[in-house]
Amino acid sequence: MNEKKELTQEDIAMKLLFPLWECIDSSYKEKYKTEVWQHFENNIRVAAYTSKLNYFLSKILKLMPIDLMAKFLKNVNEVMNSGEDKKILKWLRSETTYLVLQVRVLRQEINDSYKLFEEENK
Amino acid sequence: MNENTNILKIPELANGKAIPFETFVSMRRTPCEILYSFSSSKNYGDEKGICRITGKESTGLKFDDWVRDTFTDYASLYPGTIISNESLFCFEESSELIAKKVNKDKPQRFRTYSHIVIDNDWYVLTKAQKKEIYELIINNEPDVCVISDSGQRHLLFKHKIGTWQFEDQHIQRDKETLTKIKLLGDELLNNNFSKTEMISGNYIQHRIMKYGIKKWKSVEDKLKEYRGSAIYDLAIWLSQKEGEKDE
Repeated sequence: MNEKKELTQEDIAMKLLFPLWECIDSSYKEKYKTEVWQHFENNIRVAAYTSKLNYFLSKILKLMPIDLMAKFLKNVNEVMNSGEDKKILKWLRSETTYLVLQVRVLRQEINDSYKLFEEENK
Repeated sequence: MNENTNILKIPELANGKAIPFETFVSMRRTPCEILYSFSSSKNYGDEKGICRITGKESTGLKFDDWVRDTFTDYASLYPGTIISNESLFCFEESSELIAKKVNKDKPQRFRTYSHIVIDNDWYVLTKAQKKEIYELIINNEPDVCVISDSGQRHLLFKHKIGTWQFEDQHIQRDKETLTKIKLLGDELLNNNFSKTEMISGNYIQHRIMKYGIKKWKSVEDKLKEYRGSAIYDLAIWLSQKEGEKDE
């Protein structure tokens, strides 16, 4: 029998927050270039003041222009159906900075690897 | 009615025997009396009665004549009719003695400064002298320790001997915890974080990225255990950047 693995903070960052970040409207990111990461962090914290993860999701989708892409649904659903709502929401409220920074670092790494790839293929 | 309603049990004072509240009040030395002992027993008035600040019989001014409409700390007062000379000394708004102690030309307000008394030595310090304040309280057991940040409020009369008082907060002395938090605060300050971030727990992301997420997380995980407590506020207030000089 497969034992269900408990989700870690890193999992939440990669499987829930990274998809949310990636699906924020690009014009919004452009418009608020300098403070968009702070907006994202603040809105995650605000949306997490609820009792169920699906409420959180609908709140964050209302707070920010996010259009979730199908390619991320598997990961997002894994978190949503984990049954660990209480624990995850607590992290989203109290460890917001850390979780968002994990996303930010991952985004930076992806950007850097794109740049490297482009330079190598010039 | 229970005959013992005003009997307090103070084990340290009476070897476990109950002593009357009035006896307890008259036995203890108040911060105002301690500081007044450094003055030349200045006399502000000769009205006799019970002092509303110290709770003891003394002489001074009629409390109702002295008190202003702006005074709101009635919860900290004892029943009585006067404010004693000892207490009036600690409310002085133009003290020559304080001016002399801090090397100023003009008379100074008591409330502007932090007051620490250790073994009959009275230290009057500004909020810029954080290093000195920290060293005094960590290396000694002060009789009086009232630390003022804003310098706007009268704090001395509310002091409870045996505690560290930071603004309005009375803090149980715990040198180990104070040092632990202060060192973590110093570490973050030296890496460009602000005290506001440490107090609120809301950090600016790029500062964390510059410092290193893992390193920050390990410091923050220790700090957040204490966030919201009075000792945390004091320790962060005492934190200083390396090379930051006291006055």
